[in-house]
Amino acid sequence: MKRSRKILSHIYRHFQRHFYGHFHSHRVKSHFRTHERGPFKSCNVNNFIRLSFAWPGVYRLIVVYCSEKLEHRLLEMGFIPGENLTVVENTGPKGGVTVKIKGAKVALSSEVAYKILLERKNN
Amino acid sequence: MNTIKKEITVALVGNPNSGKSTIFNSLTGASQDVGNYPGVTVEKKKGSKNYRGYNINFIDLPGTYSLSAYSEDEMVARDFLLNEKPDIILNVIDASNIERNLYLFTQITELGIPVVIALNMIDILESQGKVIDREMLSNLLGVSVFIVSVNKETGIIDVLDYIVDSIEEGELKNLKATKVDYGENIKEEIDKLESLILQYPELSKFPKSWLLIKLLDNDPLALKLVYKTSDKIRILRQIKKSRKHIKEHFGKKAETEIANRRYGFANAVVKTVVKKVGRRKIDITEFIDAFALNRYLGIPIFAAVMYMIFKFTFAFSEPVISVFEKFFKWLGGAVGSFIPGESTRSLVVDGIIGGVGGVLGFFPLVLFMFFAIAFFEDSGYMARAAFVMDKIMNRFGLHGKSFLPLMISTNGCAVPGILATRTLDSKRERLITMFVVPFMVCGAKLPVSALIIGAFFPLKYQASIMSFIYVLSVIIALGTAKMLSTVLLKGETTHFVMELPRYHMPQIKGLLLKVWERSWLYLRKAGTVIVFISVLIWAAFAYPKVSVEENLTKSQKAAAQIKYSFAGRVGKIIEPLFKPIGMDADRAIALISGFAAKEVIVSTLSMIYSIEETDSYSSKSLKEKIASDNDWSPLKGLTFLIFCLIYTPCAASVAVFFKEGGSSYKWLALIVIGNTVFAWIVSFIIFQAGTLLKIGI
Repeated sequence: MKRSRKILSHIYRHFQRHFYGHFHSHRVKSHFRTHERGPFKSCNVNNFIRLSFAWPGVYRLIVVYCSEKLEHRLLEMGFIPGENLTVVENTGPKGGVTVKIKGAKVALSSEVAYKILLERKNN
Repeated sequence: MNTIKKEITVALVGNPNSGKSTIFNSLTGASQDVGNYPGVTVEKKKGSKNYRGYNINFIDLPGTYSLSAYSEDEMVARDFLLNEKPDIILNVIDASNIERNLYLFTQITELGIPVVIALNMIDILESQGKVIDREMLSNLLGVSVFIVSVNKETGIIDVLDYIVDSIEEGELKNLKATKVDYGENIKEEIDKLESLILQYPELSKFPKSWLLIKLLDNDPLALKLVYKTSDKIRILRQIKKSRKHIKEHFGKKAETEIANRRYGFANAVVKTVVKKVGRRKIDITEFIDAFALNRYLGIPIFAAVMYMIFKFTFAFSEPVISVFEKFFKWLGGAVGSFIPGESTRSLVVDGIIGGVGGVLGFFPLVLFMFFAIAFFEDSGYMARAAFVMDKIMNRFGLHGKSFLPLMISTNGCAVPGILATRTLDSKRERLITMFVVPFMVCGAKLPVSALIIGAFFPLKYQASIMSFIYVLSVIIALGTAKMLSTVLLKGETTHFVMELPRYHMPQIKGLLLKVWERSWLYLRKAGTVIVFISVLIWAAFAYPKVSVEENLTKSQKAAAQIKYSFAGRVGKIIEPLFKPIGMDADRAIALISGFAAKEVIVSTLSMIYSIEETDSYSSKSLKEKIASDNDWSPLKGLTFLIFCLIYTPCAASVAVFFKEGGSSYKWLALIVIGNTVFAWIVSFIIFQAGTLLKIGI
């Protein structure tokens, strides 16, 4: 049963990536690889991901790494460490990310989203 | 005491999109007074209502998420609350998003001003299958809570009653609003700071709990207050020590911990107050956003909406404008027949009535455009549009919302385009957008293009030349924007973080009020300047009077007058300047007249060439005249056209630009002289290159 679910989820992810833009995912991966040694190099754990590369799903916010002004703005909009957020849509480096946080929908450009580190929730 | 004081000041505070403005509108009705806060572009809205013998003044503060000092809106809101001390704060809370709205509430309570809560949008909460316990919320927060619905018109009277009652009975009864408990550690640090600060009388006039938390929060404005004290070093040292202590204890910055505590408070309140009872209905917002924010459909939908705004504006305003035009023509004729003297008649009819007609001629256009924009703004689409376009416009130093002004200006008019930049929040991006909006091919530049292209290019190529002109205007506008943002107006582009409000049907009353406010500002601010400039230009063309022989026809007389007038002489003087770009005195004069309005260029040209038929749009004879004239050539025509495209915008646009851009003479000079020089350089390059390569001579 567990095995079949694993296979199914594998197929689903394959399907999703294919339809979510094969080229996009490729670009994101390569981009992430090149920037891996950025400000988060100590967070070398598999479960961590930047908001700009996050697929739709539920995540937990770890840290916001940016200028004080932007950090403050994000804080007051509800981006506090430890908060759960849902990525609704991610249109990649040429677009932005829409997330649901604290019951409100917030749109961020990918530059801002790049500065936000998330943890995947295991579900 | 209470019987004497019949004035109550109420400040409306709330998150953006919390429906604050609609409540403000239904509280005050049409008796509103809109202005700007001194020095900033934030709109200041005031309204008053007579209720039970009291004159209640409502101030609609800009929507903010907090009372810190990181944006103009926030600063305006907090400066008002701190310095002018309203009698009571009406905190508008969006029930469907109560947690974040309570975050602002936790900051307001620290100011020590009585608070009332107006709970808005309760129907959205109910559609999510949740109910809210009003009594419990009121008990927990220690303030009165009223459920307000603007659509059903309930709750507004209760709020008013409560405000008047509490003023009559003394304000003390709601001073026990619950404050956030920041925990032992932060409290210790606050106590240490407090004992220090109490020694300074200049600091103790501010609300203590607010000041202490803000100092720990490292808030720039609160720190500025400390800098003014005599012994700032001691306080600053203590702040630093406290912040360090908090960081060591919690492992995070003081501001993060404070925000965390505040949100913790809000979260706890929400958990006890909001209960889930039923199933949530289908969320229309999610459904629309699935299309409107889609990576492939987003931009086409955006384009469609922009086209709708554009179409709406021009389709509906056209009949009104033509009625206006006819009216002013009739008025000119009617008034003209009453005035005896030739010169006074000309002044009144051509100068003043023409100028006023010019201002009011735009008015229906502005009105309809504002209506269309306000509709999409209030419905919640504009935030999405900005998000969809942000990446593209950001490359040129513009904001996603800059697209709309450019769109309105293309084939439309630059004046409403410049006014439409009001939707932009950042001052810098707004200025850049306003500067480049007049570069677009507006409706008034069309006759010039039609004339030149019709005269020199075969029918086969006319459409492609016209589209080339359009593309060129876009390139010039975006290029200039890029240049301005990298050279003159350096600065970080604002980070795009924006809340996407729920879609909802806008209220017609609110829309009309918004439209009226904005268009009235246009009339009052720009109207006077435009009338003044049009009278000036009229004078430049009408004086000094030439003495003409009797045997000339009317059109020949007009031509002689233009050449003899002040503007004509200036044209003659500056002719050498225009020689290198292939223009003679006639065209220089036409360009001067084009400052009044771009469509005048054609009629001035036909007057100079003394052509009987002066109807600019169908002047076939002018076209033939130009085509056969030795002074003109396809190359010269094209340079003339490009010069027209780039050089100084018309007087109306310049006036609006001046008023909207903060009345800066530097920018005024840049847009008038700078653009003309830029146009000259571009025309020079094109003309000289064309002459060298022997194309179209």
